[in-house]
Amino acid sequence: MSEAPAPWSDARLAIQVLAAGAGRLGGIHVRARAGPVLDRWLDHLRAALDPTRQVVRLSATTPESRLLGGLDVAASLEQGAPVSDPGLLAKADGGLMILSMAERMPPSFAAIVGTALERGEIVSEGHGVSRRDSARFEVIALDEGVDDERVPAALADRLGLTVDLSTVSWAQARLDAAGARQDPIDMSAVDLSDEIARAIAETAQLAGSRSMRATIWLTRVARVLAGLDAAKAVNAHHVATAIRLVFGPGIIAPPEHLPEETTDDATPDTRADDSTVDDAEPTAIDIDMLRDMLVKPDAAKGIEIDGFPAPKQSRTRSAAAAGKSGAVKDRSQRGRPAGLASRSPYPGARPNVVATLRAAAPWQKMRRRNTPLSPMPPASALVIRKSDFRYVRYRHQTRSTAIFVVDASGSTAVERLGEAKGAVELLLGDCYIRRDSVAVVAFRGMEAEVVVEPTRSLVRAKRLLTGLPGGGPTPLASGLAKGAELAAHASRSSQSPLLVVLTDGNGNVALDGRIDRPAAREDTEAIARHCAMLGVPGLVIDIARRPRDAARDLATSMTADYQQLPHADARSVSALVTDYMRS
Amino acid sequence: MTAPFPFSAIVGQDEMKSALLMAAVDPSLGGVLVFGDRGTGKSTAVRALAGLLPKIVVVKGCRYNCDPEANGAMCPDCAAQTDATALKTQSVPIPVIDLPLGATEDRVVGALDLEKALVAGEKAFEPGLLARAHRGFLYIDEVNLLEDHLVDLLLDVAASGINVVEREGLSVRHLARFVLVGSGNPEEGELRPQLLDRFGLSVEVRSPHDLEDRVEVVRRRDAYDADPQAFAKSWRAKESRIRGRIKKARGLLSDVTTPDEAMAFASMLCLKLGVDGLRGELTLTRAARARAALAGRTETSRADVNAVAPTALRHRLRRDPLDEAGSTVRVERALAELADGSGIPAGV
Repeated sequence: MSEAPAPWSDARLAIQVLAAGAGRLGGIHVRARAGPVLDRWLDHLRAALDPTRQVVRLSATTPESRLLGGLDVAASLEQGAPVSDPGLLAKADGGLMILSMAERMPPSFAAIVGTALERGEIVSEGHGVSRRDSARFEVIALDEGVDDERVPAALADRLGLTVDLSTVSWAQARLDAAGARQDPIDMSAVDLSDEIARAIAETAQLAGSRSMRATIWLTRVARVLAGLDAAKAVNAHHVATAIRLVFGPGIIAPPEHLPEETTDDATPDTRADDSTVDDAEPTAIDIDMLRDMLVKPDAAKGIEIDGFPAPKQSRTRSAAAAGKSGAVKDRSQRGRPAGLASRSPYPGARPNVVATLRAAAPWQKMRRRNTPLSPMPPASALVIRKSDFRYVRYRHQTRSTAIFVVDASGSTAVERLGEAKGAVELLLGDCYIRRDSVAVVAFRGMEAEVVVEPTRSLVRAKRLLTGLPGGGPTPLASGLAKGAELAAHASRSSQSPLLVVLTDGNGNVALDGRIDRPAAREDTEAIARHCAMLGVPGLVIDIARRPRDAARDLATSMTADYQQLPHADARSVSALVTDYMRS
Repeated sequence: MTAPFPFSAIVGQDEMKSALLMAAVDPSLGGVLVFGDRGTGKSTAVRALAGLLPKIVVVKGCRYNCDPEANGAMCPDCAAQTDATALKTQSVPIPVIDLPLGATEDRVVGALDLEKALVAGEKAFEPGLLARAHRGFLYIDEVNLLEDHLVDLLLDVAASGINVVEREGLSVRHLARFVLVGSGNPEEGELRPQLLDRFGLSVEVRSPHDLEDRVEVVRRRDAYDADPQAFAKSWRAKESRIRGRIKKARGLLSDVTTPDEAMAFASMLCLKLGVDGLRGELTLTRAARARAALAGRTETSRADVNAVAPTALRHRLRRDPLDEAGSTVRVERALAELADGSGIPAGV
């Protein structure tokens, strides 16, 4: 273990630890893009595991009903009696499940897999069948997420190991030959002193983990590492490595910041004799040392550490997808099932076989009697009419993001700014329930500034808005540009943005920062048209005391709606925007 | 089947544990909602509770857990049995039924029995989870991820205690009185306010702050994972003590009286917090009663009301977006004000 803890060697070590962990580590959360490095790593993984174990590859967009199983329609019809199908999770029992595109996983998918991981069995109540199957498997979640796409916490929390391959070069991975098979080891045979247990618990807390599972994973991984080392007890070095493997390399400070003793390699033999007596010296563990290893959680607040979010801040996909409102697309072809319909919800919909059979079943006797004209169907054949067809209705929900672009310049009175802040706060209080988010861009002086990134947190928005100053020239163009940027980003992450511009329409700062009224107007016009092109729904609220054409023209260029609120107060703005978000 | 993690071996989380015990003592409390951080033993606690519940007497073989004592309030099967004395009885553990995510409507409310329909051409009703949960517990993990149309169904049944099925030419109604227990992580989505209100008690859990507690959690978890049976065995004495307490409290419950003073205190508290409707007050006094019964007392005290107030009221407060304090803090603030007498409205 003299090599530097590079991401690749950590990734290899994680494989060994998983294999040695005898199914008690849940699995590995792998942050990597598809490519040769990942393929090579997966080869290593297969080499290290018991070759008799099956490997099931599954896309995270597999329908939930397939995961859980249900009625096997073909077999049921053939046998004339219901035959149930165990579902993919039960089929993975005893094996390894590779989940690709894990960042696209809907939260309920993650919850189902997470529960199965936790309980080692899968209970399904659906589509005509109720079953309980053993489902002991380990999960390799392949996470290609960018920005705030993440594997939902319901699953990520239950995976003991984290690996980041995004910084590994192919040159490095290519030369590395696959390792030997790793047999499971008995981790409970390894001692763990109280002192180290305490240090681990404290470290997990310092890392900002609110789940007790982080502590459990650290303990187990440290034990396995000690076992692999043929050590009788866990020492500081094992804990240090465990932290890297559990939290991923991103949360660890670069190696040069590490105190000497952690990289110092104590050979297993020196403390193999009696660990209970001499645990004072070689296993002496310094919580400060572990603390130093972690990137200070305080410093990390709000910033994403390279490749790994500070756990407290982690915005999971689950949060993004579990909207209660936003634009609900009812006749959607995807999303979550929302009951059955007897008419096709969209052209080309396929009927749900079980529900259709159910609808047809009571009439079979009667129909068989009443269809003498048709060639006599075999006794077991079902007579199904068009009216029996049942379709699953899906409902797809997208979250709304209201992006306020607020004129904070001298041309609008300072109290307007106060009302705009109030409106944002009121809206957030409301959005909190509906899971919508709000962003605020303020423009004054030379340039616009994103004051509040899209957030659902009222507390956060309030804090950010308190210090917002007013006055100065009016860089309307820059404000619009920032707003459009946020809107485009929101659309990309499948939210429905709404651009709310509070202005009198009179910008006087051009995009390049010059105070030049005609240039400013031209720039504003160009960006407004850009917004129209993006298809972002907009609302221009004219807050001029005596509204003139400027704001109305702006709305026209943006193809946005135009409202006059010369006495824009917090409540009416909030009410107006709420109406737009609901429609 | 491996032994479940023992209830008494859960470190800390006293509020969650006592809320579950109160629900076990008085099913009419209206269920428990456990919301909080991941990995804090929410579902472990609910599943462990199943092992502590006393037995109930049901009609043997009844798919709806019919109570043989309940005259007239029986399922279609048992009601069809003209001679009531002919019904055989058996005692079974109080059911704790899991409603797994991905469950479909037909399995929850019950539906046409496909096998009988296809094979025998018979129109028979196959009861769902709601029937199985009758007189017991219905547990929904990740309740906030439940599909809306299922939530609507549950709301309706939880409120009425009767499951009415009108589908596929079937028309069935049967009793479904169950204690709804839900758990989830609020970061993944809020619960709809209507469902929130449906729960009698609500608990917020967070992972333990105390270092020693955290160490102990891991230690016990490891011991359990290494050998579940042996671990369960070493906790057996503690478990049976709790089992005894629940049983005794269930017997005692109807004898517990609530003195006027405690009642007035409960009303005052609800008034002060602006809790809508009588539901809050009712739950508050009932929870206090269950707490007294668990302690082996036959009279509710003001201290009981005090202790259960956050659990019974925090999810009923009207959300005030401009008040940053959490609802727990608001309940505690009100309690403190009432305690020093400053908040007592005149004339009470």
